[in-house]
Amino acid sequence: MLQFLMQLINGLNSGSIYALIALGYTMVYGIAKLINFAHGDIIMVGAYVCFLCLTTWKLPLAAAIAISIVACTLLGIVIEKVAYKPLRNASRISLLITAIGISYLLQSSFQLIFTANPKPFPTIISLPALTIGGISIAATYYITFLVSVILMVALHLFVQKTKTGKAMRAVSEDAGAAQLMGININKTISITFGIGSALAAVAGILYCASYPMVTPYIGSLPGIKAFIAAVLGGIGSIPGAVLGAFILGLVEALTKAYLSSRMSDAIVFIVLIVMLVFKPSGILGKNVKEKV
Amino acid sequence: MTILQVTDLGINFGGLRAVDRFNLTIEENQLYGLIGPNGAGKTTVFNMLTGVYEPTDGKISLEGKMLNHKTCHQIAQMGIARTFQNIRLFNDLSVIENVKMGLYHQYKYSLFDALFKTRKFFACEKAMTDEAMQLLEVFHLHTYAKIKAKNLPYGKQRELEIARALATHPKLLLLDEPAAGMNPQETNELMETIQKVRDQFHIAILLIEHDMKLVMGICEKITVLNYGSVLACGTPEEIQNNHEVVKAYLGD
Amino acid sequence: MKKRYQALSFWKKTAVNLTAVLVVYAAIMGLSAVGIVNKYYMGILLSTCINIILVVSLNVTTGFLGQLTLGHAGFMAVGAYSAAFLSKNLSGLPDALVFILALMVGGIVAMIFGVIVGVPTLRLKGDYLAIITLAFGEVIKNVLLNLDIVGGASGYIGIPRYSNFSWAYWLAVLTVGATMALINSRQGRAIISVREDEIAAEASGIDTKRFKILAFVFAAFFAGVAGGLYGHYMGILEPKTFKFDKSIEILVMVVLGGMGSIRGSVIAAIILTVLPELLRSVASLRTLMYAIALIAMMLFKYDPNLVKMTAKVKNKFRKAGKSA
Repeated sequence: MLQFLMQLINGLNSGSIYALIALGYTMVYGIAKLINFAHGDIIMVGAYVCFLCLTTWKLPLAAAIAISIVACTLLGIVIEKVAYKPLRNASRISLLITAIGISYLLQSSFQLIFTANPKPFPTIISLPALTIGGISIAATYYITFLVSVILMVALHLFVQKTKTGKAMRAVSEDAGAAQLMGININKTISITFGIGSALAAVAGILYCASYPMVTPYIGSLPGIKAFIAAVLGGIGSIPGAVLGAFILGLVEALTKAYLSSRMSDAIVFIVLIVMLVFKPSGILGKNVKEKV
Repeated sequence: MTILQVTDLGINFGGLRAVDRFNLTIEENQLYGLIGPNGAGKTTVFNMLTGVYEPTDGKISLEGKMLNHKTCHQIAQMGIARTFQNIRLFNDLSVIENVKMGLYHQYKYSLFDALFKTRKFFACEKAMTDEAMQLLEVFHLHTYAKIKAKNLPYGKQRELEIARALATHPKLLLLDEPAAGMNPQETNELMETIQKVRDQFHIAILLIEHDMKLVMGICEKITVLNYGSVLACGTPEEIQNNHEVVKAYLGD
Repeated sequence: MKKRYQALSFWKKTAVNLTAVLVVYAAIMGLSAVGIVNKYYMGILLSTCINIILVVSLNVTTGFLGQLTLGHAGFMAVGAYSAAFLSKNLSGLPDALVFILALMVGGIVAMIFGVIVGVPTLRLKGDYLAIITLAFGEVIKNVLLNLDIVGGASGYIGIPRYSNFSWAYWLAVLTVGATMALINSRQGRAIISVREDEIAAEASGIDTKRFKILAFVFAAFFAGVAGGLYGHYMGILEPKTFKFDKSIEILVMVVLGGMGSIRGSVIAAIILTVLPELLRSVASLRTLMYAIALIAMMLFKYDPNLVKMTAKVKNKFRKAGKSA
């Protein structure tokens, strides 16, 4: 029983990180109909910038985090402007390939700067562990969970209540109509990319708080998994991304513990396949039929 | 002889009853019109007849054979061909290749024949090309044979769609707003073309149209659809003199 | 001269093509015999041929069927592993026969996976289809990682090295020929019609489901053969070779060669296999340059502003050339 609860907590931990990343995927897909393959690598950038701030420039933690978030936000906006915006009317495949190109660009440039050798990430959370009913929950776990939940709620309120948030939703529904209503599409899309990248930066920092090794490739696998989570929950749906991420985190943790840790990745993908066969629009997604 | 028998056809979309108790009988070689205001359900009827939508209730039979649970391509093979409201051509294929698509089931050779370029392959391909050219000549499209379908002018694209539909050797041809976007002269030519097609290919034609000159000019029988139900059914004279129809659709 | 070629009948064209292909083969073999083309370069040429097979076969699903598939490396993997398994466990037959059987088995097993992957995709389109093929590719790789009977993560070793340039070359020629034959047939046109307009294809009597599966199966078969060639060249197979990156590598070649263009696929495969090898000296910069080149090519091909600019520059050169 204790073991089971521990696994649940593990699952919630990875789920929180996946959620932060998945939100970026789902928002960008909703608004630009683009699967931003480079999104996973923004996590890596966030981690490295924070690493640089803490170790080389010896800045205080708050500053490091802030700089990392700002850097990633700017990076996301710049990537969108330079690589995705010009291709907005091109085919899906071209956008996909460009996104893949950006992903490789980020990975290889950071490999050139930092080499592929893993760098130890300094401990940033040195709070005591929480003990509930016999289980000891490490500080990284509850901090990750808390931060993620706070950010998710903040995002939800932003999207629902603010003017910009409503603009984001409008552009996702119908970009043409939104434009006719006076909404600045370019600005809205840039903001979406910015927010997604900022969340990715936080995800990167939290990831390294739990697994303190940075390499240029740390964004790859969590990126794909977060993407699966977004699809699972219904790509384009913000609550869907969160739901999908936690389900994925839990499935992964429980599979690793009770079935086979080697096959956990395969099982995650099989879950995705099953989902796509029976309900491609995801748990919370909508079915859109083509008009003949 | 009755080609198409539709009995009490109906369909629900969620809570909306889009088509209700739709009845239709089309005789061999008949030119039949389906008219009504926008949103009345005309294209929905087409979609049910061709298997794109599964009707909620009712029966459709073609020459006595039930069409109800058949798939789209099965119904096409059984003898109902159609054109679309928004032209659906194979844009990157040439004009003649579009027509050859319709001829797919008329000249059969296996994948083995295709890969090993047997005699049967060449014989079938030649026969396909010949028939495709003949079909194109009916519409004076043969000079455009090698041009990509997307580069054809609009009116000719509509005609190509009809040619492709005819290539499937249908018993019944459904035309969805064939005169849309045409000027009066083009509409006149289309009227002649439709009648020529009916006479030359011995098929029945059911068309959806808003252009009343065309409908009243060539249709032998007309059904009027309004809010998914049949409002009236009869000859052009009867329809034009039907008070309900005039009120709902034709105007005074 | 192009017009004269196009006016030839089918068999005459085929004769011309075959002659050209033979001449190239003879030239390469000749250069190799006199030592101008050494073993290292022959290896590159062999890899090029394997990539040609992969790119042309992927073009069938991505270019001709019009469905973005991101799991092509998975077909290559099952083909490679099953071919290797057969040749390692089959004894008593001459090498060439074992190799042919192994390649056939590789292709057939890959074909079976083509059906397994193809069937769930029948109801999906676009992005969802891409995602599910990606997922299948990863599942295959992961399963292979855990399949100890074929070496698991440490790799499948001791595969007899039957592959050589000749095998690869003629199998590449076979692949290109078969693909061209498929496309220029009613079945090939049906596949293309599914890409152009699936609803119109169904309305014309085409059973689109059948042709989607046909495209998948055809593509998978040749990917499997390519895998078999690869395994018997390297002598060892590792699951990590067949991850998502490999599928993307092949996809990039398809896109840059032009979707739906067999000739483009061949050219792109040649350029994108040879170029990275020539840049081996700057290995650390290689991925970076590859990424930049990729992004640049995408932008220059599809960004309307850049396309206009390039056209203007081209026009200026043309005018300058005329006045000179």
